[in-house]
Amino acid sequence: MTENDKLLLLKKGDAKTLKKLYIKNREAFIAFGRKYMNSEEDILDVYQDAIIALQEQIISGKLNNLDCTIKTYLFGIGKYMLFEKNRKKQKTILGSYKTEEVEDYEIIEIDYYNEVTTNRQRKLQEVLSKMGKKCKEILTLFYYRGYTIEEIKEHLNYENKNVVKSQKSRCLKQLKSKINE
Amino acid sequence: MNKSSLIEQYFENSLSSEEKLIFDELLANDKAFAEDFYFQKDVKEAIKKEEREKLKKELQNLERFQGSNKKFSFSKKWLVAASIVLLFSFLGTFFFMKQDRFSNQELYANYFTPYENVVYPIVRGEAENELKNNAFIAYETKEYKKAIQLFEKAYEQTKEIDLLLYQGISFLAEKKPNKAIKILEEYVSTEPKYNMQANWYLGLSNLQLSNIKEAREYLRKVRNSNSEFKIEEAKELLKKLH
Repeated sequence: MTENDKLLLLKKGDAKTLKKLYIKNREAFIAFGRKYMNSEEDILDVYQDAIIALQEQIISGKLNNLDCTIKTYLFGIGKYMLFEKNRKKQKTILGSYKTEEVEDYEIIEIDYYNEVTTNRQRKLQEVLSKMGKKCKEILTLFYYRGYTIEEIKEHLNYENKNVVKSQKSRCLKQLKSKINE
Repeated sequence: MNKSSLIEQYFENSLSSEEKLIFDELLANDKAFAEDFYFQKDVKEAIKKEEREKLKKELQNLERFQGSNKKFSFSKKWLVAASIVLLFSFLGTFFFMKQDRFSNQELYANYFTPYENVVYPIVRGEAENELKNNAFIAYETKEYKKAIQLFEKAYEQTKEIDLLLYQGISFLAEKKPNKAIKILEEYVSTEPKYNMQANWYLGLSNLQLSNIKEAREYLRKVRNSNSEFKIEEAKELLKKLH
């Protein structure tokens, strides 16, 4: 499988490919992480976050053309995350950390760790997890997976775009009323 | 230009530069518009957090198995086994693209892989329940005959319903689809946590027996479900059944 095939599968949200990627690079990441951190458990925790952040970048379409391998990109994100985790723990930083990369690894890290969750978001998350399958699916496709209305219509076999639109706004309405309860 | 479709286009990333101007203008001056937009933005954030937490849990689970395999110093063996399986499944998919008609048996063989152990991390030494522990060891080392018996006993002892799922899959791996169906149907009737997994294996069991109508029914359930499990595979397989 080429890097681009993998990228396409990851973009579709293919869990198997992501897990394979996780297992394949795990040992190497632990070795890499040791430069910055001692505890294997902490390194793995960061590794998981880096994998998730990578997946988000791919899904949101920010990573359509790679000029490096997926692994390099993953380790780039991971490096900044390791650094940030160290900073939070207020420990001495092992190893050096230079900013010579072309990719926006640092921005990705900041996005991932520094997002403030508002009360309304927390409430929404709670309500969302109890919502019916249909709503959850349509909202996740649109807001998370980056599907257009047209693509959702195809994917879920709806008759036309208007049905998708009204279903989506019904779900939003439902959410709104539930968080105000 | 309709206001709600402007917001929609924002999230679809398809605003033209002209529309972007109108969008910004409305966002600054139209209170209802701004409210609607920020609400949807929060929905987006909430879903992202939810997905993150879900994925994090999955990866932590995966990590647990990595760890438990290592204790048995299986990891190298597993890696080899896994890469062989991977290679074959890749060849399998490749093969599929080239032809479209397959016998039921071929289809079955191309889609069947035993479900990974997600309910019970194997431990060495003093296990909380030795029968269950041994059953999963047999299962993970593909000694399905032994696994079937051990799952049976472990179930009698603990009444943990998920054990039936693994017993059913073991029957299927042993090419006893009739027995697999019986057990898995019993499992499904309890509306269990791994309902979709059971439906998938019920589909495969029926395929193995060439009960196409039943196989379709189960696969449709998998395809239409909301769990991430085997949705794509079910879709593909449904297309190939004849």
